[in-house]
Amino acid sequence: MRPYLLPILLLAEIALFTAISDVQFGSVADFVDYFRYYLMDLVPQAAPVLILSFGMTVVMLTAGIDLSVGSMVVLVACVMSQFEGDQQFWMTAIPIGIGLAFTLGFVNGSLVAWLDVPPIIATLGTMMFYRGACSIVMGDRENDPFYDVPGYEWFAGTVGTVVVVGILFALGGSWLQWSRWRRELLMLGGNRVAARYAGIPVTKRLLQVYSLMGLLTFPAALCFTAHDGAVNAGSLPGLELKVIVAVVLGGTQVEGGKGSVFGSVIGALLIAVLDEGLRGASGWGDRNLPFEISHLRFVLLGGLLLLGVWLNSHADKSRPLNPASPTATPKPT
Amino acid sequence: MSNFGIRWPGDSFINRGLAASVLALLVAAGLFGIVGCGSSGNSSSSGNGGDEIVIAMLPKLVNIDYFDACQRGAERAAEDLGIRLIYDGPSEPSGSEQNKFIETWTRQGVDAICIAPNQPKTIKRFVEKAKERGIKVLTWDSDAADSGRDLMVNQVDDKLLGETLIDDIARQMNEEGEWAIAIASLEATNLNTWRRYAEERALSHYPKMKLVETVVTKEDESVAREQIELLLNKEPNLKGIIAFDSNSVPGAAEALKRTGRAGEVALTGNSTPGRMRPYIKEGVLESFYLWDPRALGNLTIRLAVKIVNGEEIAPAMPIEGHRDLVFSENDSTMVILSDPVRFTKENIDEYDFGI
Repeated sequence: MRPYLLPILLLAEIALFTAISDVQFGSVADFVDYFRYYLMDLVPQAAPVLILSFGMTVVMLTAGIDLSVGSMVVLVACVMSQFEGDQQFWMTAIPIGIGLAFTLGFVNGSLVAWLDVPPIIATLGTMMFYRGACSIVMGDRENDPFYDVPGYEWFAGTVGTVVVVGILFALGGSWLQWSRWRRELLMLGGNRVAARYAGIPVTKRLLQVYSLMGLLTFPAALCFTAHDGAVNAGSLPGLELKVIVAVVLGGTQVEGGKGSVFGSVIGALLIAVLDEGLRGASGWGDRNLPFEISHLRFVLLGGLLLLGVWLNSHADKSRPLNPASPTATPKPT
Repeated sequence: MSNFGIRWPGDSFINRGLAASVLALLVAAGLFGIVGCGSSGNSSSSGNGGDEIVIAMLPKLVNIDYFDACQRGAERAAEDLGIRLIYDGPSEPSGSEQNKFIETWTRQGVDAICIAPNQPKTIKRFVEKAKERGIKVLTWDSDAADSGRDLMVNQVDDKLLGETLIDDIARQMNEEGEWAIAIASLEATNLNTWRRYAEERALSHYPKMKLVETVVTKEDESVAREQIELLLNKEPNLKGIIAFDSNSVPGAAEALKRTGRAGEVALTGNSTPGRMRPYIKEGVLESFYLWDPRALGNLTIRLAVKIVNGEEIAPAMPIEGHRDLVFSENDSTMVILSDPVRFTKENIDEYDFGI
């Protein structure tokens, strides 16, 4: 996809939804103020999807997919919520959360890399398994120790989430962009057998990729629990689908071998803006539409996804040097 | 030049990309300009600037008949009082989705938000944020007592309903034998308050009755049916079931019908007449209870408007179309809508609650 299409789409979306939201601007100051609050709400809300989209992009580079991300985030949050909300939380719950997140991802990686289970099946299984584990850990309760942990609220704020997401994408993203690791993944995703013959340690790379995805569910759980303050076993329904839509919209190919984490950022923001816009426009919808505007949510989300996929393939055709075979060699570094 | 991926930072594409981004920004700025002008020219229907009162109402989830009926009552009240109502909510009973609605409405600067919380603990920060911006917050249907809300509109006196249900089932069971509970979740405040009062009264008034199991049905009729069928197979001596939500009662009734234990196992609870009518007429169960959900929506909006107008909400206050205000005995910020109506084969056709 042409890289400038996504930002244009995003801005157009923001403009459209602002136009039909129930806010009126008397002055420029009003306007600025509104957008300040808008971004202050939007970024923390989108933080889990943003963080996870990084990992999901990397997984998709290898022609894989991880359906268990939502369950992993909630399981990590549920386990962390078993601890008392005090200073000790940082010393107990946080390391356990990190360890658990890594382990859950490693389990996915083992299934895919060692047992050779197709990723969609392996992670579908763990998606249900982890969600069931949430219910076992939590029962039907709702836990809220997060309100009382000193300093925890920082991760709910705009600054905190921007710092977390920013570090991830600025440092992680640029390292990834120029790393040999990414090129190996691209090759792996394009043709696993060829990658193996080219001397890429396929099993090891797959394990690393799914473990990274698992590990990233920890910061996602951190931002989510800080924002919401409480968790139960049914929290965040459908999160994995949002993440996948975000990544595909961002120009990553599900077939593997092509993609960029920076595109995924825009993809995630596109979804967040759509979601937020529909919530803000319910008053406008009541006056102007014969049905409730919130019913459009899935229609638009699906449409956006299809548009993204179409733009992807369309852009490919128009490009003279089509990387039909990703074995068209990564540069040796 | 690598052919993979999108060529953002760091390749020859960047110049064209940069130019395009600038172009995109200009286009967007133009769009915003149009929007801004269009909006400021038309300030009459303003959400936050005008005189019109805007009240946002958040159900546990949208598109289920109970909350749809509440919505109709709320819309009627909004029409009568000449205010603007925003009624919206998540399509699944999720606490985090509800929080996002509260954030949106807080930013839009509505005058009051009425919440039926799914996860009472998670709305706390968002209620605080709304109140900081001068927005009145009410809860209805289900309470979040610790959230700092201004008022709770309760459909029924929790104690009265819990005790009425246990008294009814005890009478049908001749005050002895095994009984069980079916409930949507162990988290929802309203359901569990009723359950607690019922259990307490069973212990103190009906010593020969024994609670054998509590089944969780997840707000889902088919889950309820499966769970109750399992329960009926497991407990051959079961004599009674109380189901505490509108999905569990029809689910349990269907389970009784399918296993042929109707009549042998008594069932009561609170559900909607529309769904229970066939079961009542067939005699699967003798009675169930409900309040008028339209009246609940209606009263919530009327009280929200009074609070926004700065009126003191006091006991015995007359409210148009409702009985004079009754407060809960235990909580001076909780208003009680009405006494529950007992539905039987004889009177079920007399009521039309719209559901």
